[in-house]
Amino acid sequence: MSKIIIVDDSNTMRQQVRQALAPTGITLVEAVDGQDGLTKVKADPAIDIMILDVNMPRMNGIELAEALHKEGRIAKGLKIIMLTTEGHAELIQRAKAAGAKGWIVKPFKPEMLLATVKKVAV
Amino acid sequence: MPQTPELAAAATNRLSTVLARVLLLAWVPCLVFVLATLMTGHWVTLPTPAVGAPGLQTAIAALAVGEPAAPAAWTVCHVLYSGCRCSRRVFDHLQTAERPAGVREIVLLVGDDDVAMQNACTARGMRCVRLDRDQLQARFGIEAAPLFVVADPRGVPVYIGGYTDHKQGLDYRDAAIVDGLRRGDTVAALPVYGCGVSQPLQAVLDPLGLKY
Amino acid sequence: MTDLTSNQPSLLRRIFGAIVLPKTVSAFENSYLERMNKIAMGFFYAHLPIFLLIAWLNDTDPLLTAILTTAVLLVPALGSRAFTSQRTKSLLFGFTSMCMGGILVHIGQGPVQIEMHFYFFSVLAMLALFANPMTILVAAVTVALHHLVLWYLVPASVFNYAAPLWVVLVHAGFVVLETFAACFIARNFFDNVIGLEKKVEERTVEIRRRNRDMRLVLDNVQQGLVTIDRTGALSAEHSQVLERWFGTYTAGEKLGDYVGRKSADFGTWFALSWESVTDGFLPLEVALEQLPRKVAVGNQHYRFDYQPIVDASGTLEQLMVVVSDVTKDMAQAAAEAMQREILAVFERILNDRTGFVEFYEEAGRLLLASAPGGEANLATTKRHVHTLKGNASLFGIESVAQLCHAYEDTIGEGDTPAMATAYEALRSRWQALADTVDRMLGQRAQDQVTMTGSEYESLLRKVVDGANHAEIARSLAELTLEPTEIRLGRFAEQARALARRLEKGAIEVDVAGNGVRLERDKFAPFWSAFAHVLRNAVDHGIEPPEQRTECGKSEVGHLRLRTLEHGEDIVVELSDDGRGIDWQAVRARAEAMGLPHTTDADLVDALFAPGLSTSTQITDTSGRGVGLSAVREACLALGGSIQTKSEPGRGTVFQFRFPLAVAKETTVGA
Repeated sequence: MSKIIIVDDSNTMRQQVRQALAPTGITLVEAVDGQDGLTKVKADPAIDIMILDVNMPRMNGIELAEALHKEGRIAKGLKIIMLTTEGHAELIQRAKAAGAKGWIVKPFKPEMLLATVKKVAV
Repeated sequence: MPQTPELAAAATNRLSTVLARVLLLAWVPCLVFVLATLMTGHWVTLPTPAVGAPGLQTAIAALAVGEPAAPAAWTVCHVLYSGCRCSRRVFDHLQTAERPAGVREIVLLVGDDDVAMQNACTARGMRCVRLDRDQLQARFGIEAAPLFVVADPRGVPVYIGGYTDHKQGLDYRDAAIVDGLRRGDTVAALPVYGCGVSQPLQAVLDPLGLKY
Repeated sequence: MTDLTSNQPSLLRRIFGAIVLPKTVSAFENSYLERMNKIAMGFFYAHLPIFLLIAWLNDTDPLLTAILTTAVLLVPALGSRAFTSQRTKSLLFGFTSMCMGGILVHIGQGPVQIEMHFYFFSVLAMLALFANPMTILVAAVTVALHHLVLWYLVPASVFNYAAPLWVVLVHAGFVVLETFAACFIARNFFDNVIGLEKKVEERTVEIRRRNRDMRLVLDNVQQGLVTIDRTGALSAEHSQVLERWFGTYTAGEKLGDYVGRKSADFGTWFALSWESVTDGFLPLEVALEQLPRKVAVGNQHYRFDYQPIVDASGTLEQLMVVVSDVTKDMAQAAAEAMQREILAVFERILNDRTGFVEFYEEAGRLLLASAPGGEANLATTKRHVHTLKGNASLFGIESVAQLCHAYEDTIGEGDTPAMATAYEALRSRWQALADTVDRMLGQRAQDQVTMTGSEYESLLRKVVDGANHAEIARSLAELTLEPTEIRLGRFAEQARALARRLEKGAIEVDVAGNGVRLERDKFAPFWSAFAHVLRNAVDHGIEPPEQRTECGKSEVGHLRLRTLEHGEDIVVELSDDGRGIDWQAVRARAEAMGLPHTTDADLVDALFAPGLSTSTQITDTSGRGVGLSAVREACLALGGSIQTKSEPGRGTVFQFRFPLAVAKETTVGA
């Protein structure tokens, strides 16, 4: 059973993700920035899906992805879905280089995220 | 004007095509006509003299002159035309079939001098009278062959017609006709299929002169 | 009632249609007939020796037979020279065969002549091999013609026919019967075997025609249609209009590259998102959602819509791309947005004309001052733009606020051409708005005097009570000053609107002017900068409702705006009950910027230093570290001072103090 972490400094966004994924019944962990996300992911090896914002204080999404990549967590099967805004191609390329598997442009329809998680989750 | 060999060949080709078409256009109607004339002989029944025709009775009577047979005997007369396939088939029939007894049989043979046919007739006890087609028409009033004529003992022709029910039929009715007549029956004349003998009839039947 | 059969061709036409083959001869039919014609030729040539044998055996004139047979053989022989069409050549065999039959019947006369007639019927059937009812018909006509000629040659009046009419009719009946059957067989043979290739050709033609129709549709709709395969490569079929929009079209080129020639952003973005479509990580519909949908080429705007074509297993095979020119729609949407903004402005003018006029005039000044390449340095320009942005936002003119934000971005990067472009966009938008606003405002009525009901009453009382003239004159003079009550009320309203926008929920704002009036022109820069402090309080001070509940506070945030005379000072105060200032963060930032940061006073100074912002995120509202430095500047210019009190978790109070003498120097001097 998958376990998901949403890393986003915006409460509104976290709430939106929480509501979108409610129908799946999958456990959702929330982190308010990259640093927080890193700590929580390290502490919980059961987390296998990460929904990750790009712009965040303390540590942004790209840095977090790169940190997790260095740690070997992505090689161990952590799937990262980036949440990004349109027009930042270079950020997506960096995230993909760091091992992020997919990305979704904000704002997105809740059912899009739901469909993605349903496909990715085990 | 200089002409390349190809152009010349093409022109020749065109010419031969046109020529072939013209020829074909003429040839096809000719064939239709020719073959239609071939059909006539097989399709039409030929004319016969009427039973009471005076010339015929006299001519038949004349045939009996100098005959050794009893005066009360019936006369059977076969009019054959040597150039005619139908006549030859009748002739073959006369050679093989049993002949009725007590009748005087005469073959009137028109055409080329055929000694073999004449001898064969004589051998079968038939008199063979050879004559040309003009004589046949002038004396007997007969224009077509093969024709079967039967005259009663008085010399009056009572049957003038064909041998078979159908054209080119296999069933020769001559003996039966004679029997019937001798019994006193009335016998209807069978149609005559065969060849025209007289010149005018041949002209109608075979305007191209292919058969005769 | 309409005749249901009217669409059906008449029986005669149908028979005709069945007998006459379609004009075109397919390659297959041609080669088949060529072979059949050769075989038939051989077959009829073989008649010659056989007929001779029959004639010889039957003693029926072999010479005549040879002549006649040769004459008949001449017909197909001539035909092969006369015609090039194999079909026409084959027709002649219909005639030839019947003539041969005639000869055979003649030479086969005698006991077997009837049997010889079988020839006609067997040959008539064999003619069906030519797969052409016309060949059989030619044969039948030949026979009929023979009989007609015969009847013509031998008039019935001359001979008595032994074969009566009924016999002829029976013969004819059989021939007709067989002709019918043979024609039917020939036609079916043609349709289902010989003409099959032609049918395929017809279908191909039909498909081509449909393709042409499709082409017509593709080229005439005002949408560009094209499909791309899994590699993103364009198909050959496409709407002509695409070439007009995006240039020369090459099948096989990647869509991203093709459109990318006109818009690099689209190209990059498409290539990137197409990877998502093909790598299969995201669900197809999600991945497709990420494809770029808008592109601008020059002044034209296009919208891209995508329709996946999937196979049975749901794998993407092709993607249909529908491109629409939405330039007009965009222009209309922009016009509508402008209309909405103008309505908002109109409402403002009705409710608070003075306030709006003030904003409007200041905005015009700020815009001029923030032009790139002007006298102001970048920091000042940035501050001007920031102020303009905040104020435009407060007055509901979001288009201007957004353009300000975009302009600010370019200032940060110091990119001059980009800056000029962004400024021009802002300026033209403002100008468009200004044209309308100027008409709405008409005559500027700045020099009118407004008074509240209570002010009127108190003045009236002074006159009735016989107060001294100097007193009354002072009160009257004061009327030319601006009552702060109105301005504070305006700020309160803006604060509430801002809180709603920032999802801080409903907030309470208390306003108390306490009869204070200030010189309008002198204080205008201050009030303009004060807007920053207000926005900070709402954005950074007041917490979101759920956070407030967690801290044990009331869910509704609270602001207090007041002015009062205090001793020799006029005080303007703003207090909130939010989270308070994060002094630690201020210290850290001050240290990082090399500012003094040891005492509390140092920290307060640092708070108002240009460029300091504790926020890590820049939003439309605040966070650029510009606002508070602007307010300090304005305050100092009026000889004022700032006092700040902040308790973590309890709230913040800002007090701006101005000497009474400065505040009311006009009247005092009077």
